[in-house]
Amino acid sequence: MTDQLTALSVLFTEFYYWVTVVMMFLIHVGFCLYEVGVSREKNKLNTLMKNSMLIPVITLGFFLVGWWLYFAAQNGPGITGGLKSAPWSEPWSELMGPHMGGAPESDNLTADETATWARLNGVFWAAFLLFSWTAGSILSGAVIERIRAGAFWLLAILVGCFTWVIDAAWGWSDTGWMVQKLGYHDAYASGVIHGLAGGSALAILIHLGPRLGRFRADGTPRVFPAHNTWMIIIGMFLIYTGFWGFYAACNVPIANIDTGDGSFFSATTIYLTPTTLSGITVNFLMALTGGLLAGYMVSGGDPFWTFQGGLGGIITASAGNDLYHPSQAFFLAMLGVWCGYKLHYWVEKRFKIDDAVGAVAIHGYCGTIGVIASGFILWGYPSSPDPSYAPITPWGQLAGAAIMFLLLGFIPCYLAAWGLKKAGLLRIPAAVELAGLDISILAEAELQTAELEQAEDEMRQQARSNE
Amino acid sequence: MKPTIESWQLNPLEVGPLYPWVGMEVWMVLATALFCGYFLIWKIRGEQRRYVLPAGEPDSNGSSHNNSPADEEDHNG
Repeated sequence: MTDQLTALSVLFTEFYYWVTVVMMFLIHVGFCLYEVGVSREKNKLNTLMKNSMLIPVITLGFFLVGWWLYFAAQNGPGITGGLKSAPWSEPWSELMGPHMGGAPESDNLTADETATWARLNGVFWAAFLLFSWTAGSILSGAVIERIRAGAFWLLAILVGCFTWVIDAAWGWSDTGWMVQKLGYHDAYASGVIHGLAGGSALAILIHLGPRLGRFRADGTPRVFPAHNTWMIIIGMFLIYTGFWGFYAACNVPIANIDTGDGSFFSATTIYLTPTTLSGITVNFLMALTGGLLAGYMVSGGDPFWTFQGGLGGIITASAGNDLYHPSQAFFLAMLGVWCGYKLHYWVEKRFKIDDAVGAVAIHGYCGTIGVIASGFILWGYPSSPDPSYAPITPWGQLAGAAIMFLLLGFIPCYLAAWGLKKAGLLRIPAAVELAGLDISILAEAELQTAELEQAEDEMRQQARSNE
Repeated sequence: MKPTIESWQLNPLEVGPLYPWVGMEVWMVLATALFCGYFLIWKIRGEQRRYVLPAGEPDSNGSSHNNSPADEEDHNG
């Protein structure tokens, strides 16, 4: 960082991502509140701990494997090359810790890599890690009240540290093979995170089965009332807020996009195609608006689906929100939420899938619909500044959606959940499910209450004897 | 052990890693990985004890008979 412009842009980028990471933490707070609110009284603490503890579990996995995998896997399974070298992202790299960017100690780092990554490695790592938590958290809501925490954390590691990272390497990086060969475009991760996590959740739910009593003998679903509506609503508002930060984190804040001799600095997407924070902010809010309206209308004013609709609207429009007109984002969000809502109830009725929070619908169906729809709306747009890359097409986006939802979302989790089920590690016993997962806590609380009552009796007796 | 930085009176352009024990990174990462694996195995085995052994089954009143310290530590989550 010897010249002032380079120093300014590096330090600004470091600070920019640092701020987005803090904002994105609200997504996880929101998911925790939301899931605990939806769970029944007898399961609320277990629900909280199951989701909260995916933070350390996924963080360790992402530190050990995920960050390196994101760079290494960008060529896919031999499609545009082999494993890419990314020494700055290896967990034992000197650039993972505090580093001033001077001459590298390691032989496999160049001076340029060291100077660039010393200040950006950690904040990029954190931004991607927060996306990993989100992927895990999406699964968490769908499976509440009957999955074993250990099994859930293994599945969360699979998704948060491996499958989502591979799909990001393939389709959410400036040199990913899907971007090069398919023209895949998913600027704010409709398919990369939400489609994939939704497909993963659906696969797990098939093996996990519904909660006891969720379906009547005649097969019709029974509604389990949420134990705290306000937690759900506050949680959802926090998810919206964090999602806003996520949009910022998906951008490169300042890059020279001029291909000629001069300089023109702009924000870019992760594909290094130009966009503006101003434009994506309007589209984010118009998609939220369309989703809220569609959720309200299609559910007949149901608060749960209205708020979920807001989220589903953003997720649907996210794939192309760097390029859409605000009205396009608005109507596309409405379409996604309407389809997601209808699909949720059709799948629930037809296949007896108990998705406790509608995660498969809002993330999986809306995200996948958004990816496919963007292929038609953005047909012919360049997917990259590199003119040798394929342009955006409906078939490229359709293939991309299938890779996200099915190949990397559904199939790995289907196999993993099947293995856990066979090993008897996936689901809690029926007796525990009936009693509630918080029984130990409740029993302890009863003991403490009895102890306090006994103490009060003793105090009264002592007071009487003193009198 | 010798600290990585012995004085801040230096040329920043020549400074690399700041943390102690430079050169031991692989071993520190290995320890982190081992602990990660240990935690998951500890949790899964704890759940097996809790949910599969008859003593861990709750009775008809919903209270658990399994109050050993080893099982109490993973009762929530």
